[in-house]
Amino acid sequence: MVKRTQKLPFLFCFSDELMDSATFVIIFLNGLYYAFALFLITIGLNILYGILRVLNIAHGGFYAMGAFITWFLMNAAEQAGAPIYLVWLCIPVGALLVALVSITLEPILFKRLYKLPEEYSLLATFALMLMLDDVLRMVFGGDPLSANQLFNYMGTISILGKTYPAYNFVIYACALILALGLWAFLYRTNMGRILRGAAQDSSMASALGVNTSILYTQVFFLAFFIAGLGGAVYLPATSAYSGMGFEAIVLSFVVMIIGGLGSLRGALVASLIIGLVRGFGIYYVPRLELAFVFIILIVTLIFRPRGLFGRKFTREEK
Amino acid sequence: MGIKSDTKNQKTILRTEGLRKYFGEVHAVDNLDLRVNHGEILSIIGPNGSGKTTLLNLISNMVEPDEGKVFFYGKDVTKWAPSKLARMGLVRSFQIVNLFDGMSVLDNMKASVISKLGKTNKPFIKVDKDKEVMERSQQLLELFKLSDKADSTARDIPHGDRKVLDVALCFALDPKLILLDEPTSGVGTSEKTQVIQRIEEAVRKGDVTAVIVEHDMDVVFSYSDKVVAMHRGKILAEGKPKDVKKNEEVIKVIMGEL
Amino acid sequence: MKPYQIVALIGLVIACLLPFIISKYYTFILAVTFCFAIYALGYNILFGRTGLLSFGHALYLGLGAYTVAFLMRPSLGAYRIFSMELILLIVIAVSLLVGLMLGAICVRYTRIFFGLINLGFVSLWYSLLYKLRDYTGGSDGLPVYMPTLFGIEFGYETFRTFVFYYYVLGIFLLAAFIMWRIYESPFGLALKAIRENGVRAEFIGIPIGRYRLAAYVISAIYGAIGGALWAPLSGQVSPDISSWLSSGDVVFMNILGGMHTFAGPIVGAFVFYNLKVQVMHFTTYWSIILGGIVIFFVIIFPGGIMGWVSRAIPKIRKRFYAQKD
Repeated sequence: MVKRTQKLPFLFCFSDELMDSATFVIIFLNGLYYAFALFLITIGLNILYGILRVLNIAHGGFYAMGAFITWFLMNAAEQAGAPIYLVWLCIPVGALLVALVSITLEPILFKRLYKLPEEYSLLATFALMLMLDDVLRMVFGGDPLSANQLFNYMGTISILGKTYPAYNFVIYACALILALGLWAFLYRTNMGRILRGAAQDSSMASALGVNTSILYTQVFFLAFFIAGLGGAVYLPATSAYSGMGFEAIVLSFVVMIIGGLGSLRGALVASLIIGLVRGFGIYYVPRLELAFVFIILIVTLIFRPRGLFGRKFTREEK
Repeated sequence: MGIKSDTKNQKTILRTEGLRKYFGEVHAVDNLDLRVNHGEILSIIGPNGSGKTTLLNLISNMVEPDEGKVFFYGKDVTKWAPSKLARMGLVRSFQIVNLFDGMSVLDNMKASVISKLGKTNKPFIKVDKDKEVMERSQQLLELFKLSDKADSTARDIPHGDRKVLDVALCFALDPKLILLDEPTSGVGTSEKTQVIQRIEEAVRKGDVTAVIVEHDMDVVFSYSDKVVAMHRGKILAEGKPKDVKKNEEVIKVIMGEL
Repeated sequence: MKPYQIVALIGLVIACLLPFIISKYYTFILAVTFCFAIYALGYNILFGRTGLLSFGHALYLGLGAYTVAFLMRPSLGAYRIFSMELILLIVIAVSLLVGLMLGAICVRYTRIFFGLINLGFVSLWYSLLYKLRDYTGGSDGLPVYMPTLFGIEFGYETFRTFVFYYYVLGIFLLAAFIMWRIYESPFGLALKAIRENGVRAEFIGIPIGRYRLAAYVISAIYGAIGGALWAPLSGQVSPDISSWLSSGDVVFMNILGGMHTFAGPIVGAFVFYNLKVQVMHFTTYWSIILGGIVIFFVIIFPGGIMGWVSRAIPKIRKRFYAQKD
């Protein structure tokens, strides 16, 4: 497993003293770094589950696809000697290309899952995830691929005496803008209102004359775009490697459970909790990084299984 | 036909005390005190939304009350698990037919019977070779006139038979009190009498106490010993069928609905 | 005798004679397949019979395997256990305990949530295996030494390609027999009822929580036994046995073979594992093919192979008997 933070060795020159404010800020920012990655994947998962009742295990694969496709674009741009703003453009373009995949996959595969019991989507998307991981390995090979032009371009900034990569702030900005944009979309536009309505009651949506078929494809487009964007925007800071999809999705499920299935607020809050707890946990006991996450999971399962913002379970689900 | 003599044992077997259930602002069941006596057939009537089904759900512990208690044979069963209640003799049928659809009619019956006989925790006897289970299952199917459909899948039999099977599953448990939630709903008028007759026969034969939620007034007034009229979560009137029928408020609220 | 009994008997005879007919390599493969058959069979009482889909069952496979390696490790010195029988008893005890603990948490929920929770468990297990290098050997795993069977030590070759095959076969038969009796029992019928309609099962007096837990624990024990038997054959246990990819395998085996029949998981395990071995001779991109097959079965053929067979049999019988007249 290639750790994301291996790219940034200078972050680990902490000493064993009590934390000073500079270190605190750095760890906090690292926590955000991790949290936003989780957020970008889980948001798409929650959108798909909340509105379409499809639990897309393959979603991590689209995050990975975003990273790989963007690598390809950035690599090509570098070899062609393109100016830096074109390299920046590779990020949204990469995300868009991933989103376009949805237009083919949704009618072929996902559409058939809407009417089937929810467990079928678990099975089919699990299989899809396996396929995706192999396809990416087949196309791009098994070695990690990196494209750090933008990362290097942004350089570092100084925070309270410690250096910190400036590019990470691009990631934070991106995630925050996305969160705001999504909120505005869902709560301020007509289409958003329809989507929220469909999440509550899908039969009503079609009764209101909404073309559910196109609507559903659009939902997938949105979800895939966000996942692809996640992979794309993180690529300059880390690398694209085989198996990154799986890692991403496992943690996303934990976030989903803790935040509440289908809840967007939950995705944001839970991502932040996990990112920050893990960040501070690693500082003190680095070996148990994942254990922190799972301890939170188990505690949640025992005391509040529906998660922070999840709806109450119906009798059939107990 | 459904009138019992007053010399019958008047012991109260079910009692609710101050039952309350809110759904947001709405009082689905509001401070309800109900008494059910041994051996009687008690019907609950009321317009839609009066809380009849919620009341059944509260008594059978499908739903937890916000306030109040339920007493069964003097024991406070408010917080019991439904399966424990069922084993103690309080069973219910469902308005929307709730069967083991993928299994045969006979298997449906066997499932209930083995539960009653306490055999479910025995992993090494063969259920099909167990005489007690097979005989009792066949007996019950005969009682409810479902024998000819024993091998059909529960999903495929006619709706009226499904409603009867739903009730039959309850009877397999040798219940002391059975709650029937609209046993004739969705059943065509031609079949209705036959469905309710099969049920009434089983109730009388087995000396079972029954609480029936019904919309069909003919059924109610032909078969009940006692009628309880509900409105907006409260009891509007209760008593013998002929008395409740004449009650003015009942007429206004409930009959007016027809 | 009933037709299926004849088939089973023929199968048994063939299974006993095979090591004399086929190559040593294939005997070895077959032995491994029986291990997975035990795993898949146990899984199905949870999945096919009780209706609970868990994507985390590889946890128990790994639990069984690592327990074996653990009990044999050199650092134990004089306390090393090589007796396969004793090892299996310990494996059963361990998986019973772990199954009860984890089951108590996850069995309170069903459907998707149940599947997700188990995914979480197996992921945690996997990362523990990976990180706790000092105990589990990390990504390299632990070696598995040769156990004694009924106190007898065998040579490496004979063990792996002959003797242990019969040992595994014997345990498989015992496990299958026990599972068969459970399926036929009132408990088995109660599980079916819980699958068909959990709410109704509850209202006819079946304690659904307890029974789901029982099914979970049984499947955990079977999985651990499968893993424990696999360990000496493999010679090495590593975290991959409880990886994500492995977690899906047993689900796919059951779907492939047919989850609503008794023999389905067994058939599925055989087809799946042998298919995998054959395909991996040609390409490392096995997952693409597997994924495609699964999606095909899920969407078009949910009954699996045995489902198709059990539907086809009445039709074949009709044709056959019609011709006789």
